[in-house]
Amino acid sequence: MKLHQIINDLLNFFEGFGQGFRSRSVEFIRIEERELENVFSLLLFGSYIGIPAPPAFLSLELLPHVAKELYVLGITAERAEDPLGQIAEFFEI
Amino acid sequence: MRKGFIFIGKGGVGKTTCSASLALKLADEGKTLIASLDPAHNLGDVYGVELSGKPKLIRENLYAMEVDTDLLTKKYLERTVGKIKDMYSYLKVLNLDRYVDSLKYSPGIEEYSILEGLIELISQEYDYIILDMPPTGLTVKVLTLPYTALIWIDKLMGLRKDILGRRRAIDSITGRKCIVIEGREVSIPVEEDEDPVMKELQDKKEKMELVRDFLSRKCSIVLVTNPEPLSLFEGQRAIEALKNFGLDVSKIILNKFVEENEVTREIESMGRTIRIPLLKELPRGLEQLREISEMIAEMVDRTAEVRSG
Repeated sequence: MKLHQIINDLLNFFEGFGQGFRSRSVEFIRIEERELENVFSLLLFGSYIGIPAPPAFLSLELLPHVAKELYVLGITAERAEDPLGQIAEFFEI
Repeated sequence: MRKGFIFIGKGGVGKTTCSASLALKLADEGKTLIASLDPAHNLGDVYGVELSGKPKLIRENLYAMEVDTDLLTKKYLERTVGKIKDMYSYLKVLNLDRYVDSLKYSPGIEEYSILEGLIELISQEYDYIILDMPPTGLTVKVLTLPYTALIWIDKLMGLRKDILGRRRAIDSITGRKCIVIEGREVSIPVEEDEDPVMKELQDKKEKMELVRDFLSRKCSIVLVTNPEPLSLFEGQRAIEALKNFGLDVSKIILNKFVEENEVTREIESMGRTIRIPLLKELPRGLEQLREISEMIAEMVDRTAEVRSG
């Protein structure tokens, strides 16, 4: 194995290591972001499940721009029955 | 624009006749537009001319039109659903055409379409704009929509700012720019000026503020009523509903007045009232409307006093 390949592998290892740390460091903010996006979607499209909703034109005109928020809403709804699973996932148990 | 007048009241009390007469009077003073926003138009019948969705000059300084509210709703939905189709084209299962058909009957859509029509009208360059509105229930919903919408818009903008703040924090550490949903890359905006949701909310906020300013500063709401209990009760309810949003009915027209009685006294105790007597026959055409327009002239004079005062 050549020296520069070893150096490359080491650099990649540290890079991955750094990425892992960076990713872990924002995990709490990510959860907050998802929660807020979920609330945002619930407020916009709450009329589907009986929650008071804004005037219909607001929901309709924002619909083309909230694909990510709807995706989060779907995932949150899917996992709603498994709160322990979510905690376990967060703590990597 | 110098002044706007919005005519409200129960169906059949004479809103169109009164508003058409006032328009005739105001045209003596400046360029005037009268527009009927009532889905069941009869402004053209009152003037004795054929009207359409475009302003038509019917005498010097007087333009009239009948806004096609169904067409407004259709165009609005086509425009909005076009954007939805572009964004959610991967959802093959969703039949968007059928979705549009059902949206037509969704609560609030008709009101917003009429409000969009109103926004277009008040942005035009006339000295006076007179709006002949649909019967009370729909009108109250249209006139209060900007106020309720602004409450929601402010809340949603606050929440959106919080979301963008979290995104900026994540972006600055991990450099995340987009995520993949159903095999499609979706970009994640982090700044307010690049976020389409924020832009859309800001645009709606400006539109709603424009209508709110028009309603509260540049316009008089005129209630037309008849000397009979049902239109009195509906008028009282309308005044109450509008008052909740800070909107005052500045004038009352007591149309088809015959003689003073308990109901007329009750109506006149509600605010400044102009009596228009019951005429032998329904006025039609510019000449016949002249007579009523002279009675309504008082309203213009009082408005002038308010402006100069």
